[in-house]
Amino acid sequence: MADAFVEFLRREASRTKVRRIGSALYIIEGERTERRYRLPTDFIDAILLRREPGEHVVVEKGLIRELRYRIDELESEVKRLRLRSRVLEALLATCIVALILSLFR
Amino acid sequence: MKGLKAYVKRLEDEVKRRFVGNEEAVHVLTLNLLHERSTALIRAPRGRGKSTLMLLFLRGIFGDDFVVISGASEIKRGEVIARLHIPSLEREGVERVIWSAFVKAPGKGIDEVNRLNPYTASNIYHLLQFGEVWAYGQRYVVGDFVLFANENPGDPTTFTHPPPFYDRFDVSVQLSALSLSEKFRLQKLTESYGSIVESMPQVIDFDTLREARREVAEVEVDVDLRALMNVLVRDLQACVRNRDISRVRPPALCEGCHFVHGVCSMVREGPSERATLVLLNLAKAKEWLDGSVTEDDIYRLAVYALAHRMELVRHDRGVEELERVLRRQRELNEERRARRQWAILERLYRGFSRDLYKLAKEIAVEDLVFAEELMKLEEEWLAKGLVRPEETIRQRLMLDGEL
Repeated sequence: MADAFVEFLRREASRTKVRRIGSALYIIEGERTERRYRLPTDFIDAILLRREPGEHVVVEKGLIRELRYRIDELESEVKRLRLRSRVLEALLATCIVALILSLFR
Repeated sequence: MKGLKAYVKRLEDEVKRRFVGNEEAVHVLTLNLLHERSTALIRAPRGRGKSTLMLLFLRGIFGDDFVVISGASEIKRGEVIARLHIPSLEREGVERVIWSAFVKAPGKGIDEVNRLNPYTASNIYHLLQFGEVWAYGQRYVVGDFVLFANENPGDPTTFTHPPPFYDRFDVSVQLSALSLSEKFRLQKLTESYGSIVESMPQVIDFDTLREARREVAEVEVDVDLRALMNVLVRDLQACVRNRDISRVRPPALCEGCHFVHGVCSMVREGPSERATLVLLNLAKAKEWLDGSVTEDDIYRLAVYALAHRMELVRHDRGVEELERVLRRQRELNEERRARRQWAILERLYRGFSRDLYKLAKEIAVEDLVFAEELMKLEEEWLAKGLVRPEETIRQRLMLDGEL
């Protein structure tokens, strides 16, 4: 290694807190700041983490397929739950009617 | 030392007194004077004061004793480099070379570089780099000099010079148009000075400047700042798909690449190694002249050292895009510090540790510059049998990045 490079690495190491517990070595990371400058590919961050996207959003074909699959899955889940909700609503209505009738008897 | 600084500061002050606006550009041009064979390129559309700024600096250092060649006129090789002494050739059959005034003068200016024909430009290449010229099999050592050049890249009669030509300029400054209040100042200046260039006094001589250059060369720059420059330039150069020799360039080259999120994908052609040398010279000059140089200064100076020696994917955005890339690179550096990756590398240099190696590999898949250094260590560990080829980061990146 070049001397200045060694010196640079040593300095960085001297600024780092290291803990040793048993045979394990723990390097304590510094605090990470929020990313300020976004690249065009921050699509997932923008959608899932509600982060401000960059000026242009580029999405790979594979990701589109994955998203479409997830959306289809969610839509079928919504359909299934809606059907179940309707059945339960009907059941509830029947129960209410039965309850009212039983009260009048 | 104080006396020398006072001369250089007075030169800058006298230029600023006569040149309205673009204060940072003037300061960078002053800093760039403080190393051997300094070369500066001033870029701007027509009528922004490119030639004026060039002449102000040359007059401030050399008085009237400098040579300017103009790309706009049809200059020949004899005017730029040398010509043969015809009587000696005819009478004695001896090839006596007469070196041009441009070659011999330590104060050199090139007006409208973009209009220099390619043949003339190629003659200037060698001079800028090595301080010597060749003609008719003879060599002339130019030694130390100051060279200013200017160009309007948007000029329709422009020759497109190859990137290596521009790489020979230490810095390039882009002059902006004057604001409303600055236009009032310019009018006042022309009324009071008449000819702004003619009014410029010689405030320093070349020997004094060379003395200052020798002092600046002795200045020590902190290793953290050296690391910052080197990491910055390496980030702009590195490409896992060998961009430098590939016929396909980003963004097409980056399709499906593991590092598509990196700074590398924003660069079509990276800077040469001259970039780190120029940045070091500027940092030394800033420390010497201003008394300090910080991380912020390096990023500001990088704009001037890099703008003309690399090509960005979004080059249509000009300097703004370069500033955006530098901001992104700075953010990447902050992340590197936060994850203590250089400390991890230092520990790995001291000795192999499987836990740290695992951690380093995780970092390496996000950081190509770190990966390169880790791969060098892996070669040693492979030879010693400490790691298996299939578990190395090289193998992983080859699979991911389709090397």
